[in-house]
Amino acid sequence: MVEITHGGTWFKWSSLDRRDKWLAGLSIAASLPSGIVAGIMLGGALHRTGQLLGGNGFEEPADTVQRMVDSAAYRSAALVALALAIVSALAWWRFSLRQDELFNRIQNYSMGRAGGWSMAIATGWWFLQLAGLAGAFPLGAFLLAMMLLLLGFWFHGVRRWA
Amino acid sequence: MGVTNRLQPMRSEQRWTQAELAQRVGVSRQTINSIETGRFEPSLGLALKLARLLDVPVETIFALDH
Repeated sequence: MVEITHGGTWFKWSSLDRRDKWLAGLSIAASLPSGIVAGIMLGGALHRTGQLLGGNGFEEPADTVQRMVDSAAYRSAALVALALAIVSALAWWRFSLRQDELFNRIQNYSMGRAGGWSMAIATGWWFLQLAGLAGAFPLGAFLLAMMLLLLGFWFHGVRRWA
Repeated sequence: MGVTNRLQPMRSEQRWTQAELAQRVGVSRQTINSIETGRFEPSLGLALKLARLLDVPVETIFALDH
């Protein structure tokens, strides 16, 4: 059974049995390509933000990162990353089923709260967009916010129960 | 209204470590520690497993805080 350590940032590998180690390791390894793909997108978004803050406005699509994102290779990599993200999610689901109620209570709490707040943000944005007060929905920023909410509620759950 | 428990003294009477008790009821050592320190209230199923293992009514281990 997994034991959560370091304030919720890691877990005690020695507490896992062989099957748990395999599932957790597979999930983490399969999620890395998705992180790389997402990191490139995030890098591009932050690059543009920096340009905007610098007062130079956005460069044309000739921008290095934008060219990379528009390339066929990047799009293929994104599809591969999607497939691996699904493998990662399935492995983590199987791993979670094998853990005890403390781990699952913390995980369910973090996912439930993050999901609820994310729905509220998306719904609020939608109504603002309908009212003409907001532009196109920023999917990348939304996913980043959802991830931060998930982490925030995870650490809160660990501090509360573990 | 919280829940208090006597799990730690009852475990000590059996001379079991937290890890040994955890293994007997199928949870992690961390879960047993969290229950004993009052941070985590177990599910009904786990509470009944603990009561059966210690051969006492569940109310002997867990009680509502007045």
